[in-house]
Amino acid sequence: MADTNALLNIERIVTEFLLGYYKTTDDYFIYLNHACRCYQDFNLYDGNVVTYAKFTLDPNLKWLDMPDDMQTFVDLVTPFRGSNWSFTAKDRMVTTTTTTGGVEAQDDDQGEGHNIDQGRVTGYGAKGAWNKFRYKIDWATRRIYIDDDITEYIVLFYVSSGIKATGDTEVPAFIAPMIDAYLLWKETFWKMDLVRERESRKSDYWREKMKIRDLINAMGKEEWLDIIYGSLTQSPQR
Amino acid sequence: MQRQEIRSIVRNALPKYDKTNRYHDEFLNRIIEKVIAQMYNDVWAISPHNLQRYIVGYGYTTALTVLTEPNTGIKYTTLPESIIPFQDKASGVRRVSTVLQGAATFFPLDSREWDLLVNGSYADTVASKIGYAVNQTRVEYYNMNATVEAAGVRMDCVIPFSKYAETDEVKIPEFADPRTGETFMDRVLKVLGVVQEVDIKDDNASQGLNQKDN
Repeated sequence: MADTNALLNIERIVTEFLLGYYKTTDDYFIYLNHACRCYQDFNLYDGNVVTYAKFTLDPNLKWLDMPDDMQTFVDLVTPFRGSNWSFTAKDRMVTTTTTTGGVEAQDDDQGEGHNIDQGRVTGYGAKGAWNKFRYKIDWATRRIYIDDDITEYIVLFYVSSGIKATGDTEVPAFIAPMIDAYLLWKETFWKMDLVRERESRKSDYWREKMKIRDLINAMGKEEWLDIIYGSLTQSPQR
Repeated sequence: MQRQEIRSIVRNALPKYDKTNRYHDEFLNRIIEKVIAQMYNDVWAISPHNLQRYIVGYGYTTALTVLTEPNTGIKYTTLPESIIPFQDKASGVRRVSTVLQGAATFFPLDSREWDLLVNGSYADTVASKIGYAVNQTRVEYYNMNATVEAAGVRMDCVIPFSKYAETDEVKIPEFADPRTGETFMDRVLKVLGVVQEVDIKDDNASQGLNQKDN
């Protein structure tokens, strides 16, 4: 490897911040906590880091328990001919359960766990499509209910906090300036002599954040060409 | 300059005859100590980084032992010497380090911060660094691992004048107070000057009493 790592330990970002801004080490742990919050915020609103978890569905329960670190839902899919087939959100799905003898399950007699009856018409003039796989997210119980007896693997894509409960928390090196700006902004809340700096530092942080958002969302030349080529119509070559 | 030399300079700046009988070594030591401690705090107020020039190192040849308090489980090291307190978390222990020089491992924190940290904070989850909390007699450690504990630590401390040996070098901040222009000697003599000389002690005594001179 010729150059420095593209991932940095979050603690290193904070120690480099102390070095770069001639800070004492007095508030290290406070800065570290804010750096973690900044990274969590980045993952949630700006980042493109998507975590996945694989499941097989218990046909008696027909729900998946969300991973503890799941912040937001991205997609629920099953592998199909080399690509991911997405499930369809179905808000009216029954999500109640019944506990019998201390065991929680979906009771068929109480209308729980039924496959949704999707009456459909096929033939000329029929509109739309029908997805065999459907889900409903229940954030209160942190479960995802599924109405089909799917036997294939189910893959849940989601956004996590990015903060590792065990092992090192590594963050992309290119967000270090954004975390620096965030720390400089946040320190104005406990260093009262800096209170007049608060708004300007908040703006600095926002500029860094937008810079990174642009970088992440910008498309490369080949991606643009793919879109252009995709809109072209083939014709006989003479 | 050595401790004894500093005291000697102060003594030579005093009146030749000490009618108060107070200018003995220990008294001068305490006055000098008080003034130097104030000046160290002035240095700290200008920039805490500058205190580096006035530290004394402990544990460099033989590591300072880390102990564990049985009842609380707190790991700690007894202060190797009294310290001058400063108004930040590091106080008079400006630096704690592993015996073998390496990356920064120890960071100061206070007890309140410690309690909040271990209350489920993100920082507590990701921290591999060791926190140290300075109190009057010892330094307590947060998040210290067994390897560092077994190896012991070294410390850079700012200590009072009286804790130096007579022939130890004592560094005095060589600057004048920006508000009053007073140097170290000015300050020491000012403190000593408040001691009234015996000749004028009873000047305001009533006429009816017999004034006794030495």
